[in-house]
Amino acid sequence: MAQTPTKKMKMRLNLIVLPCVLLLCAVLIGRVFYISMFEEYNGKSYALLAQEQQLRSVPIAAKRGTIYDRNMVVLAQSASAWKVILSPAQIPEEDHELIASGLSGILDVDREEILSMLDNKQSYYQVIKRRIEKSVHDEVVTFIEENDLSGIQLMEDSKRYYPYGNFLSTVLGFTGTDNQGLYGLELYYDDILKGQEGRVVASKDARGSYMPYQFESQYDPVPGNSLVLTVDEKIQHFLEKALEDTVETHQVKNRACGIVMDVNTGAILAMSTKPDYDLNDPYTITDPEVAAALETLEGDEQKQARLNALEQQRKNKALTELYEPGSVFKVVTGSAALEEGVMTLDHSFYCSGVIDVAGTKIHCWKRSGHGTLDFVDAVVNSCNPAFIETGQLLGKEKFYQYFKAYGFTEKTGIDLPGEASRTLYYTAEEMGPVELASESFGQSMNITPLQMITAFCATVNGGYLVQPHIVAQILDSEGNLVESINPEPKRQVISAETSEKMRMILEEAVSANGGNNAYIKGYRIGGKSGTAEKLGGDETDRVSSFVGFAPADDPQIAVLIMVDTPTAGEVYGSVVAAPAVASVMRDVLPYLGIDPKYSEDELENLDVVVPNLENSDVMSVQNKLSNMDLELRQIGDGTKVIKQIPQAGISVPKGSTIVIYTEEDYELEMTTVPLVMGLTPEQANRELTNAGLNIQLNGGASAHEDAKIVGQSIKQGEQVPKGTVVAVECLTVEAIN
Amino acid sequence: MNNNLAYDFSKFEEKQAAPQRPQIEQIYPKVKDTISLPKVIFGLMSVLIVTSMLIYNNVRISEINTEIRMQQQEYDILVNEGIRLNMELESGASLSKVEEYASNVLGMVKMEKSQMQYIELTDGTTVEIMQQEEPNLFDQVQRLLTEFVENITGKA
Repeated sequence: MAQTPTKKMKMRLNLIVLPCVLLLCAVLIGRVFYISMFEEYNGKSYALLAQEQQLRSVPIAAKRGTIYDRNMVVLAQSASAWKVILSPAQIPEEDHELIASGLSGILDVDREEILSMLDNKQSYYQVIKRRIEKSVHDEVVTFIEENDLSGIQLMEDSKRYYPYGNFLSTVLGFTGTDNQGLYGLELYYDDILKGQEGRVVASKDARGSYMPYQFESQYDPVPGNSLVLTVDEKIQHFLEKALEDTVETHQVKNRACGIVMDVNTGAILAMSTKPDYDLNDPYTITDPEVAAALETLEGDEQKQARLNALEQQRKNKALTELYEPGSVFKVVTGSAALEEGVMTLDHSFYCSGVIDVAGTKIHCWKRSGHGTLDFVDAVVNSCNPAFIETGQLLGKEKFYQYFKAYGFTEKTGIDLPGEASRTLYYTAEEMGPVELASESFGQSMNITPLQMITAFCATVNGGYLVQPHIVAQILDSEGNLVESINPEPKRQVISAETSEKMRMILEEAVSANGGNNAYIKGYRIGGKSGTAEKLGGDETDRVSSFVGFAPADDPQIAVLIMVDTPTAGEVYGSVVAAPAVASVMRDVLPYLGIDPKYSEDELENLDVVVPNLENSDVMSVQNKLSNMDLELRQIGDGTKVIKQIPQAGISVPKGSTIVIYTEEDYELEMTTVPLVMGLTPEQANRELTNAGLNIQLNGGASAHEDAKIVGQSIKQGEQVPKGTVVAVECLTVEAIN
Repeated sequence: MNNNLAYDFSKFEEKQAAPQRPQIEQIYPKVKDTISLPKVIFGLMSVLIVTSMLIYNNVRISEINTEIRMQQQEYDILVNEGIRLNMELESGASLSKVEEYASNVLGMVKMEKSQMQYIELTDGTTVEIMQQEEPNLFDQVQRLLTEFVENITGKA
């Protein structure tokens, strides 16, 4: 008998068992295959369910592009930050108080708010605060670790930095919570700046850890492109400073705006509206009066009022709001008439102070009239009847044709959002004689400041209507040039000869009679002021504006300043806006490398700087001051100068008196400062000289025959040492245009 | 039956060999040469080593990948912190703040036009190179005499 299985037995076993096993395996495998591939649960295959369970798709945010000024100064840049997330469902009750108190202090969020989030026990995702920086992130991490807390997460977020706060605010705009552009350039160029989101698709195990070798696919984000603007940071600063001073000095009710434009290319070198807001804190109302008014409201009314106030403070007044240009528009009427040949420079007008147009009496700003004047005088004196006559000579058809050609019936097409789509004016068909008359001198129409300065540039740059633009280049994330923006002029509106005449006339408008409030010694500046009644506003509300360009012989830049409803002091464009334009020009022209060229008269009358005379010999002091055209007054018998008034370094006009004390135990001779406000510069000089004081004249109109003193640096009645310099501000004051 | 004991014919019969048990020769299948123990151990060790190395490599790769990810995160954090600090620096050094500091703290004023001295030129600046004239006979004689006198008197 066999002791061990025989071959036959084994064969028999194999023949029976193996097939059974194979059959079983086949059934099982087939079943698994079928379940995996074909069977469904809740309408989805198990394969798909498994993928859904295991695979995670995580978005990778693309870095938003940077915004630079023309010299590559960073104006807006993004960086990663964090947001703090609560998962109340995972936080035990006993930790609520600790978490609320701790995070409230670290994140500066209301404790009650955090507690109410924690009470929402069904939730796994409650955002406490977004865009926190590293220092706060580290504090939160420390807080979590020290207290061994769960249910608090820090997730990646993005923060947009605007390093200069409210600088260029109404142009740049800002981004929202999802890093999308909401206003200004951030909105207009959002598609270019935002880039393209990436994704990481990978599988996670049951504990949520990534399984790097399973199914991982990464789609890299495409960073956003960057913008290089035409704006110059320094010119922008000069403009903003001048606007802020103007708004404060004249207590402007309805904001002021300014534009600096390259006359020949339409590049915007600066654009500002004041008051504005901080881009890093765009949801705070900056006007304290408006904020106080909001506090008195409640509920929905307060909410709506707040939204309106925020909207108002973010608006770019230079292109979203309409204004009445007033006499500035006369450059359009005048250039059109010259171009058509219906007007010449020596055409004679007579202004009696009033003109009758189809039975309607329209007054000149100078009620007594200008008398006989030629076209140049008409511009210099801004005579309304002269321009009404000019408009009549032009005719409504031609007038409207040039109105259109100068771009007032269409948007400029600047690359900024919110440009006003419909200006207010009369078409040729709608225009009667009275409408033509009033539009001829800039009333009965509403246009944007941007349209006005663009048209103004066309009158002085050879006749070309340029395309205003604010972005010069688009760069990729590596700094490579993607696109350069150099728009061509749209059309030629007037001839080069007419433009040359306009330059001459506008220069005369600024320099005539010794120079008005926009005049700067050493520079050839041209321009026109405007003071318009506001349509639909209070009777006394005015819009004051001035547009200037320089240098007059080779225009490079144009500056427009518009002040909506000044309420303190005078309201005329020549008094409110012209000095602001002069202030901008005074800073910008040297910055652009345009040096002053003084005439002989100006050189003769340039101020001199008082030298340091202390410890000097009296004889040498006499000679020195004599060479500088300064007078000397000696108090004491000593031979050495102990004390001098005014101090060294102060600039004084030639002919000023320097007081020196030559005794050790000197006593200052004092005098009382007289009132010089309202006097002419000559009268003020006489008054101050009689009081033993020196005068320093400020303001471009100091030599103007109609100049008056509107401010003095030392108040009337103060006791000061003799020889002290009193700085006075001179302006010319014209009646309303 | 043969009862004749005289004749034991069985003694004369050919003695038949006692039936022998069949010789069963156990045929053992030829046993193959057994694998030697050292070889087995070596093989097992090799497999173990290779497997361990594979596992170790994968673990190391995972660790290094994790390390790379962490360092990259750290790097990104620091880059962003750098951006934030630069923005803070720029904000503190803005033109308006510089101007405010210069005028309020340092007492500086903007350069006035009167601090610049202007020189009036009627024409453009020109440079004239003085042409050296060839000395004539008289100049040469005069020079020689001057030198002679200097040599004698010792005075320059």
